[in-house]
Amino acid sequence: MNMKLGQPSIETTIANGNPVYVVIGSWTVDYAQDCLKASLAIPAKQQGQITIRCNDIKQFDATGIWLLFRRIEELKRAGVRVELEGFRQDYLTFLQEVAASLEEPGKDLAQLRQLPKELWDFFRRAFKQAADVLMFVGWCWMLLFDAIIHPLQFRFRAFIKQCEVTAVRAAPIVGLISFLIAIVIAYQGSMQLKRFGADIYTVDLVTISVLREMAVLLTAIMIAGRSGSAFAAEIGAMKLNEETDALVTTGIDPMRLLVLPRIAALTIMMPLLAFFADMTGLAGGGLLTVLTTKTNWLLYISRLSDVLRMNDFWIGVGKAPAFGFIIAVVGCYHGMKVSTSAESVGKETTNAVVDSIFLVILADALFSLLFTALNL
Amino acid sequence: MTEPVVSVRNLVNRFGDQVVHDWLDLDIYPGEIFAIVGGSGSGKSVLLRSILGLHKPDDGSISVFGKEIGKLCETETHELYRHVGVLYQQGALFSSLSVIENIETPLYEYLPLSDAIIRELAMLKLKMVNLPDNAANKFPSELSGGMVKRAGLARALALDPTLLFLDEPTSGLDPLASDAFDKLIDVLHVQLNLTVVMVTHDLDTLFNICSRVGVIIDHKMIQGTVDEVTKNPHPWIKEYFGGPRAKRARNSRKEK
Repeated sequence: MNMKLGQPSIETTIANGNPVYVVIGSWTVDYAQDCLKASLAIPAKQQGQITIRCNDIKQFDATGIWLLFRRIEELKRAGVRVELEGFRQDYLTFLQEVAASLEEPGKDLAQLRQLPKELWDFFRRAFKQAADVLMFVGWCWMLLFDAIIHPLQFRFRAFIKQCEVTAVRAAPIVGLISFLIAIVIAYQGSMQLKRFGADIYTVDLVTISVLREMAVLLTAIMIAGRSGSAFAAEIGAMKLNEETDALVTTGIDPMRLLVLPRIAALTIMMPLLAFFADMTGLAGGGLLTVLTTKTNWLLYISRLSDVLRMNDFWIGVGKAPAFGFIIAVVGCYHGMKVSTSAESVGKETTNAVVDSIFLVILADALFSLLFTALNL
Repeated sequence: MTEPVVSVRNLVNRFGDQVVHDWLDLDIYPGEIFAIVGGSGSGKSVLLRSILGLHKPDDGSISVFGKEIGKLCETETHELYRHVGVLYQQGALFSSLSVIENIETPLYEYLPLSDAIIRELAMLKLKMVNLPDNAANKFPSELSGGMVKRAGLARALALDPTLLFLDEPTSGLDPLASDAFDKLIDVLHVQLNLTVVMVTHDLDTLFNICSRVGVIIDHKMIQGTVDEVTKNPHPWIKEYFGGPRAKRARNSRKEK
């Protein structure tokens, strides 16, 4: 550790009518602030020649010497003739090089933001990304058909593993959330309907809303947060670590090994998860109906069999594969887009979740329009 | 005899059943370029991490600048790291910051100076490691392997440390870049009055610039000047320093 040999300072004397500044003390990073203050002891406004004597510096390092040097440069710029004593010539040359390179204007510091250009860049990027996504989706479809034609090339092992990780392990939490939301809907519904003495219609309310919308939508949002992010982060980290490049040079297409099994797994498992969410949702709705209204389980089940139309069930479960496909494609797309930095993994993971939830809800709205038009 | 800068006593490190260090001693004196060598898995990196306080050893004591690591309070640790520079094997540059911002990070942490002066000091360090000016605003991902090492070295030197740790400084560099990097370290070592501790596999580095060597063998350390260690009769050392690569490296040193 640097021994502390006293504060840096500058003493002024006069020799031959010209001021001489004697630099003393230790000019090191420990005294950075003091060095800066001490260097200001040489006044900038003066005429003629001055001498700066550095022979008596006890100790110095790069930081300290720079803080002295930058004052000398300032003086020179102000028109003072400076004579240096005891300053090593090779250091001086080097420091002057540094000073010269600092004077070149930093490009991105000075650059002003130009609105039209930014706007143009924004649209160009958005357009390019849309084209990228379409390419990616198209490529995924091609691979899916290819896998159907050549089933032996399909990575079954990765597929099974993904089925387990993304669906089987997600089942408890998906079921629980659907159960709880159904309880909330049933409770709110029964409170309102009681006022009309129509609390038996709580069963209709819960059954239709859970089967058509709630179960599948909640499942999709849960899976987007759980698996969409995991896909982006897993594939992103592999890209960062050049593992995907290693796959390519090993002759394995990362799209087939990493992307396709994930897409297939989610597309196939989502309807099963939605079905499971339907069941726990109906159970939750039933529990609350039995507890808060004058119905019992037998009455609930007989009412359920009157209300329940298979159409509602199929509409709900039928949307699930589309949602699963969207989540998997978006997650994998963002994972493959990770480029060079750890930061981009985080960014793409965030984008994967946000985009997939947005697209799932958009798709749900489109499905609603479609089913209304078809009178289903 | 001067006080050692780094002093390790009775260091013991185990991972489960696997013994890495068993009563290992080590002394590094001011102004040395000390190389730590050993076979893979012999615990070079663990030793380095133990000295830096990144790994808590199972037993033994480690002193840096006479202060025992692991028994320091937070402010003392902060103060200690101020005088220590580390170049990690992969550079460990912060990937979300540009090169110049990477070098500025330690400066901002420790120095109460204005933005402009900190930028100047960072540029000074950039120049010291011979990086071109246009590297300043590049991001780590845009740099070549050699430039990453130089940028990492610039960041390690940002606060003018007196003790510099290098983890395999020339690994992953081509021979020309390795030679240039060796020369850079040699020059900086003299100019900045540094004590350098490095983990290395590069025999050229070892013979060209290192003043002393410590070899980790059988969980212990054999240390001495390069010539002393070369004469040690241990079979691993014989193989390591007597192999064809070592002979070539030593001959090239004699030519210089």
